Amino acid sequence: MADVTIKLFGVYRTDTQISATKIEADKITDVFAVVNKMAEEKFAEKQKENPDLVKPDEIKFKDAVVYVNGEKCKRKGRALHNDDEVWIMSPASGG
Amino acid sequence: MRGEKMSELLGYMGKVLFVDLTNRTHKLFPWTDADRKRTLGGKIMAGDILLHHVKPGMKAFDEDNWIVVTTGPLTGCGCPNSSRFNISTISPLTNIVTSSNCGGDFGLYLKRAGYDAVIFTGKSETPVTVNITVDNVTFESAEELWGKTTSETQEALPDKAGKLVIGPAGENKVLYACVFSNERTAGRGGVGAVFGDKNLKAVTAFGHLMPKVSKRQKLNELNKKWSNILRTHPLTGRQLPKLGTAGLIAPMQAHKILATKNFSAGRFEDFEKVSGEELAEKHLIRNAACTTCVIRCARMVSVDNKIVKGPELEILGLMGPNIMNNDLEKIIEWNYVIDEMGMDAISTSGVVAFAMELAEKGLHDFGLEFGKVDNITEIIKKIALREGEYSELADGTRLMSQKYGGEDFAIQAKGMELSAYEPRHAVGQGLGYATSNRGGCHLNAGYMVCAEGLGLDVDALTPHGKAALSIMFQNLMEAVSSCGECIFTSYAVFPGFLVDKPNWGVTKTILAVFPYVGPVVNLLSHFTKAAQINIPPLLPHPIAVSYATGMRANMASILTWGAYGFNTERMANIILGQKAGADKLPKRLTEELMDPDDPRTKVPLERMKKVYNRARGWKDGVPTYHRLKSLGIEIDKEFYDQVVEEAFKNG
Amino acid sequence: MAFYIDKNECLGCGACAFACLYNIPAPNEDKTCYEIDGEKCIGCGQCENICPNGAIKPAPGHRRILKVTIDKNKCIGCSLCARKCFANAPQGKIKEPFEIDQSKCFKCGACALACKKDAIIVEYE
Repeated sequence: MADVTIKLFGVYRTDTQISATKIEADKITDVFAVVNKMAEEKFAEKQKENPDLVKPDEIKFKDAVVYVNGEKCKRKGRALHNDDEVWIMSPASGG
Repeated sequence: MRGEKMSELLGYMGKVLFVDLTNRTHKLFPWTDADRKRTLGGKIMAGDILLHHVKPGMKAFDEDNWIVVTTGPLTGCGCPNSSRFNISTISPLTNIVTSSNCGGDFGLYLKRAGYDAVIFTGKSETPVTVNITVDNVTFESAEELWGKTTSETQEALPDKAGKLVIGPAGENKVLYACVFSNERTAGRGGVGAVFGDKNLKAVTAFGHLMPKVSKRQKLNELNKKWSNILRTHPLTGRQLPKLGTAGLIAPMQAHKILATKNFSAGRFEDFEKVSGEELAEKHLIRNAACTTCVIRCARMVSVDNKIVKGPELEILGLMGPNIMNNDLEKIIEWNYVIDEMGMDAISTSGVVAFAMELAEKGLHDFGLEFGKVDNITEIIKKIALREGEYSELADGTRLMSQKYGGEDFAIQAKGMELSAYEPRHAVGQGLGYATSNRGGCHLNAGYMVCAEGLGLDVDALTPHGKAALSIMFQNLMEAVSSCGECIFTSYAVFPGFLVDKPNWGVTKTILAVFPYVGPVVNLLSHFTKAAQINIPPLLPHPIAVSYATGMRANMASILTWGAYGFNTERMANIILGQKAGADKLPKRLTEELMDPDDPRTKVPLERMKKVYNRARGWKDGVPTYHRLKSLGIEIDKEFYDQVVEEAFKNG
Repeated sequence: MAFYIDKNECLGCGACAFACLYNIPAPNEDKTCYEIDGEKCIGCGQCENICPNGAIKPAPGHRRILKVTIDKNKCIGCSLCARKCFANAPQGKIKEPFEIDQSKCFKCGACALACKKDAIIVEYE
């Protein structure tokens, strides 16, 4: 298992309230599993104070823009190594 | 002057006001239904008016330079995001036409006063406020307002009225001074300086009228569906409301298009500190919206215990990474000061970055250095007031580079500073910046970067297909904004399911094919009859125009109007002296590689321009007479020949 | 006569506040929703079609105004109606009966509410 840093951006960050964290993961799919579990736990905690909170959707690889160490990641099976930094972002636009 | 209906078409108010500031008189400007059908409204209407008015040699600060303020047919008709109006004039920054769009209330109120547009000519001897109502136009002394900031000026004017105001920067004719309406601005090209030159401190509009529409029930039903499309689309319904345009900083970093150190690089190590996420988590008090907007992307923050409009993407990028600053609070403060002074945040930031590089290279020291933030607030004010040598910064990077050198890194196109997207990792955007009519504007460019990695992920470094797609987006956005609509409403053209699933096999396949659809797109633009259909979920605009006005309109009409508008403004620029070959970018962007190891990371401009010019029916940036005629743009042949001959002359 | 805003449909765009000549639609604190005070709303309907989400609806009992005229026998020419009218529709000389210019009147009923002599006749649908 590699020790990696995960950073969430865009609506994934606003919805899960997770900005950055260190986790252990072998490959990209593991990252999604861990992040979704963390998000679920965080939601369960916050729901105690605010029952009206909406549960964030699960983040899936096909829905996200993923970068590893600044390079675009196209395969969910890509292996991870110690000290890798993974960015998970949502598509964006503006002006 | 009031009373009689002057249009069979509905949606419009049927009248255009013409105000002479020298003589303090007003009259109606002739504008018929044929004109409305040909130009739709907004910037296309203004471009058409200016095309038939400007003459070779006319300059921004001539009395005869007109300020043309135009609304769209959908404004006031109940459509979502329909407050947008346009101000066009000869820009003092670029010496060609600038059309500057704004989401404030003024356009809505102008229609309530009974007018679709107002044109200002002449020059008032003393500072003046022009008040427009249904029955009258009055000229009031603005001596007491002169010197006030944009917010102070608006506060001093009646609350229940549409307002256009300038701040000290406009009064001092900073070449990129802007005009404010509520917290929104007609930002680019120095329209505020033209107001200032004419001593026009403010304009107000008020009335009780409302536009009537052709099919009220159908339009109401469409508007509701349209609002729902906008609120459920991933870009307009999630990213923009939650993070604002500021949410782009992180994706731009990822895609290496975040202009850094005066466009020396596309990534900034400390990007997270100036990101939309940081802004939302640490500073956002609440969202704000233009009137009628269902997206609500604006950020309200606190400065000196006041709730004020917070930074958008452009200033976050250009006063953040582009000047090597990672202090978000400073950017919030500068945004506030720039707004109060009434200047274009993009050009102000571009000028600051250029001055920093001039100092770094030993060419001239204005006291500005990359990473140094403690003196910028004061310098912004000095620029606005043209104090001492800071008056030179008020003239923009092109003029600064002519005096001090550094032309290769004066990041401007046609004299207008570029916005925050580094085009060496989004080459289509680079083509757009160069071919944009008003200068370094990413929106008039066609905003290709939305497809090149932000909303969608088309290959950003290939030149294939970028010319055809740029033309299509340029035309589309021209028409969308001329309806009176916010151009964010055009994002639904990218179906939500594609945007939502960037790694889905289907999405990847479609995006891989995208750059090769160029020839098909070109064919479509020549044979627009093929597009005489409507696809409401993608583009409700032409249907809304039909229901509002009674005109027949479909997707083909949108592209036709857009092509008309883009070519009209281009031809007006040629008349004003723009030379053939003016669609350029600074050498840093076309000759220096962003990644030394990747030969694709500079903008292959000349190659893309060849395809672009062919597809547009232009020769080196000049529309051919044949193309103008085919679009229905009327211009005297002899006059055309004279100005085009001049355009192709050297020097 | 009055309109109301359906809270479930309101998107907080502020179009109603812009449309209302009497400043009646009021926002909540974070401006995500507007409300019309039914006591103050005169039911002129200027806001009805401006809402992009169709959130503005006539309140129960609301009737549209078809025509507004002045009873010359009751009108004392005080001009209060003219001063209330945004459209400049009531025309006349002081102390003589006024008349409503129907080409300008947008049938809001404000004049009738203001008139102290009950001199304004409102025809409802």
